[in-house]
Amino acid sequence: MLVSFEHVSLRYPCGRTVLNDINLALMPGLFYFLTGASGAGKSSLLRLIYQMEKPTEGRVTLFDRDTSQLYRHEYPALRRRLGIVFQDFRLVPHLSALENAALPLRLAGAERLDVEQHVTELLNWVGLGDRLHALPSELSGGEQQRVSIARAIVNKPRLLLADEPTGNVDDEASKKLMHLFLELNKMGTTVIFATHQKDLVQQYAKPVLRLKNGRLVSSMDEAA
Amino acid sequence: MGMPSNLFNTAFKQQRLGLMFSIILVILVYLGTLAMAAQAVLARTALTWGYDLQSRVTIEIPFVDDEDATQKQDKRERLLQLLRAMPQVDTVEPIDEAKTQGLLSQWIDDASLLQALPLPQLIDVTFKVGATLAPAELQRTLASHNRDLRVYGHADWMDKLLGFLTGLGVIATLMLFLTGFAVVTVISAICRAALAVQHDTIELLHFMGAPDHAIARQFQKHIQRLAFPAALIGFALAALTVAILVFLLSSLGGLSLIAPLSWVTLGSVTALIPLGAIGLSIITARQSLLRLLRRLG
Repeated sequence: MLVSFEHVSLRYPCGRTVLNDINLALMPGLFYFLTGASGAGKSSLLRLIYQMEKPTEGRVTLFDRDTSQLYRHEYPALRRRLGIVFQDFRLVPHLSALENAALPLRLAGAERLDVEQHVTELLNWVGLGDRLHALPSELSGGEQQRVSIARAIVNKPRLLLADEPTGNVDDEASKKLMHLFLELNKMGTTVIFATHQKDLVQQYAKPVLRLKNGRLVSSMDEAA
Repeated sequence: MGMPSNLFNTAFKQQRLGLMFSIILVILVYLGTLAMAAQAVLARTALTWGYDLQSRVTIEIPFVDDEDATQKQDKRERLLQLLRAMPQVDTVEPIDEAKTQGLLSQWIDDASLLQALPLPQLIDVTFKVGATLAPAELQRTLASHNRDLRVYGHADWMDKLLGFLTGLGVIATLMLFLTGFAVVTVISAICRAALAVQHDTIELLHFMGAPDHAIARQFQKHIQRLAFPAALIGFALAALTVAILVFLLSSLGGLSLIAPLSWVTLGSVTALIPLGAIGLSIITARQSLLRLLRRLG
């Protein structure tokens, strides 16, 4: 099991319950849509997976490890097995596309030549081979998101988390991004794709995790 | 290959926090170095004066109306012999009349009046290191030779000045501590501001699995790059100020008031300030960032 939630609830200190008694089990190699209206708890669920939140109740298991048993110094190694794509891209503004995408490899201590070669290939693959040295401010929304995807997968993560990755781009760019995620999934990466765009979900025959008011109301293959 | 060295440029360049940090550090290092130099010189002077004053006395043989020059000299020679025979006495130096008159000439212009003044004979006595002979005790010992002799301990009449000097030294030390406290406070505030600006970058590095110590190291390197030139400039300005003060003091003839302290010693002692400021900056930056990372989870 790649990810499992057992009776997981998340409440913020103000008392608001964001997630309520969530149970799920995600298999490796699949592509999951995570849907729900704004505020339904999609981002919170992802944050629980990448260990930026701790469940108030229940147990989260990631890569067969009970995350409540993890020590703080074990988080970095765990997070390096994840790739994360954000709606707002979160690129470092004064670093080029190449430098942004290379960050995870540099953090892992890879050699400079290996980093440049590998990241250049990756940026070529996402269609940005001619924009390697462009700053984020010189790129369109779709291009920035492709840099963000390159950065998320440069470490070959087992699990890719995408939090509304098409939320800030136009339809054309959205299709291209979707194609990239599907390609990555074909190559074996498990993808959890959070979105509130129902039309996007309906286009693809993929399992759907639907959240409503903090509860998981269905976890079935919606398109089937 | 680690993180890009310019990772934290946004906060320090765009928000001018780097410039602000550098200017404040220059000022604090400048003040701290001056305080340290003052503290070193005052402490040394107080120590030297204290030793000199405790180990020296002046003996006064009062003027007697009907004494001729030969009698005066006999009386003085006998006293000198007696003093030189004492085991606790190191040096005995009679002050000749011309020198005593010279001391008074600053206040009395008339040479004939100076010649006519009934001046006592004076003898400077220095005790050996570790001698414990108090002026009053010496006077009692010498009373058998001459009941009218007066023994003046230098420490008695310079005590207040020495106290003042020590007080100045304490103030300089206090200023030094305040400067250190200001360095920590200001750097903490600037670090917090920088971290607020770079919060997204730090959070991103955290998401990507960068260990806390690696992020903190990168941030402290940035602070280190800013702190080095700032500390050097502050130190150079303080050194220039000290050089100007020494020049002014020597041209006014006041340099003899302070105890000699070699430039090497003064430089070594004051160099602790810029080094300390750089060290404090790095430690403060690192601790501020680690605290933030712990809050991030």
